[in-house]
Amino acid sequence: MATKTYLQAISDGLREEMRRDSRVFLIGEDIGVYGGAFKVTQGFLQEFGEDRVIDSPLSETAIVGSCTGAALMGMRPVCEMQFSDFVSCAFDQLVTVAAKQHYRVGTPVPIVVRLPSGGGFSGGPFHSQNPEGYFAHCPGLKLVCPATPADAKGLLIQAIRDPNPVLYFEHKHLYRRIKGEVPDGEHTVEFGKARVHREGTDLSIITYGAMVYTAEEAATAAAEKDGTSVEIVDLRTVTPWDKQAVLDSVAKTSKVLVLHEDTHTSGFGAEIAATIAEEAFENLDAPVARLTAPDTPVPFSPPLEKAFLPQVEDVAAAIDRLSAY
Amino acid sequence: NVHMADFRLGLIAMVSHLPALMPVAVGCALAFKIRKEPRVAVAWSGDGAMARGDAHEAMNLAGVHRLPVVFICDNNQYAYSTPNRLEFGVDHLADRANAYGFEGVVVDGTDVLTVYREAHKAIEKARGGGGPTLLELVTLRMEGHAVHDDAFYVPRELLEAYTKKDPIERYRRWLKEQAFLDEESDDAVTVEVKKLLNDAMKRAEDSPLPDPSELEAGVYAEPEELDTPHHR
Repeated sequence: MATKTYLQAISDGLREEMRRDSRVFLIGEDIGVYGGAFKVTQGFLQEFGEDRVIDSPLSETAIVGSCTGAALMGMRPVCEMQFSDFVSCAFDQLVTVAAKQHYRVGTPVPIVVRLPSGGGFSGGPFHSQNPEGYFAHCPGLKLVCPATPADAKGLLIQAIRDPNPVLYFEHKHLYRRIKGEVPDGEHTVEFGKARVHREGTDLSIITYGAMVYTAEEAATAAAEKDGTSVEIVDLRTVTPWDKQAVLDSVAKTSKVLVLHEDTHTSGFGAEIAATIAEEAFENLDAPVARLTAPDTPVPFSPPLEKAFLPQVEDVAAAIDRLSAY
Repeated sequence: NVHMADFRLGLIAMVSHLPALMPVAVGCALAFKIRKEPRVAVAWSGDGAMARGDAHEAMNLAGVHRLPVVFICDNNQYAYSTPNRLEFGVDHLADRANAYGFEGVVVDGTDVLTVYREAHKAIEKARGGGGPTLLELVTLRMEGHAVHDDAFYVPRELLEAYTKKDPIERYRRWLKEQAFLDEESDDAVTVEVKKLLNDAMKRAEDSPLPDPSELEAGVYAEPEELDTPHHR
């Protein structure tokens, strides 16, 4: 075990899989000479050469489409959207081509699309989004949203070995801020298995990605303030999602807050809330609460962005409302 | 119908958004290049498809890396009801290849031997490291876009002109004049092809319809599906 940043863990996972499996190659914008906009692939070109670390033209459709073709020919491509926002340009390749190949004709498409996502830096409406909601609606794709360095590595390696198209959402605000223990060498994390980030008995927060830490700060504050015991469930993967872990937590605490950074309407939280209403109604002592970004583009201006992103005090207020119910 | 595929034959299933498979073919070529295999990918699409952004992105990426891929544009002059003059502003779609740094060739798409010769040349060029080629095969769609469409918008004279250029008849004539095809062998081939098609139709019609319980099967691939010689 060594302590690594979230970014280093992603980089390690990629590098180790490339060393282990010569079929794995990378393609994306500025990932070679420059080492990636966030330096995740720094040094990769030197180690693996330009056949396996390909600086592509500014061309998201060609990046994802060529990954699908290479995967069909037996390769294991990992591509990078420089910012997750740019994946809109490759939407058709993902939802029409990659996601539907196996259902139609039984050919697996083992590709990974890395998506640096999330806000918190005044990146504005085109460099800050969390676009998982669009893809959660598309059968055939898997969606991964790691929160910890250990999961960042383990879920990435799992994604590369998965026989399906996997969208790997890496949160930019966690890159250098979050450090943690990461197992050395071979480390995989199964998809669809949530992680209890913090045990609690009074209410549950169901979340993933960067919001795990926002929830944690609010939970710590609540415990100090009035002893409220908050459980935090980190989904780790949005597709497939660990329904049972959520229902188990709700059965234990009877109150639940669904929290995500993506916008509100038809966000993945709606699916979680609906499932709890359908399958755990008898266990609830309060209506399911949702805390998300509002239904607006991500604003550029710092005070507006702060108001847009769920903050610790917003979570704290939601905890108080649920506690008082 | 373009919705055919047999992966065992190297045919990748098209999606209805036809040019979406052009970047996929480029990816196949990328795999061949990375593995240094003497293989070539062929991307097939039509004149309508060439208006799309993915056609551009595919040809651009292929040009940049001089990938072993041949782009076949089956220019049958109509995209559903839309004629060439409303689909592109260049004289020939093949002219675009120049902008991507490789060769484009306009080919008489109704001449089987010319198509064979040009395709062979382009494929061997790609295999030898010479990069992509765009072949524009000019022909005419002799029926509507689909069974509901009687193609009333295609000028009669054009249809008549292309009826005379029917590639199968042209090739049959050539075989008879130049390659000793006699009536007997010609009939035998015709009978054999008809039988093949009839048998396939019969097999399709005799095959059981899927059970509704299979609806949700196969959305995702299982790990063991990658445990094939192809994916190992």
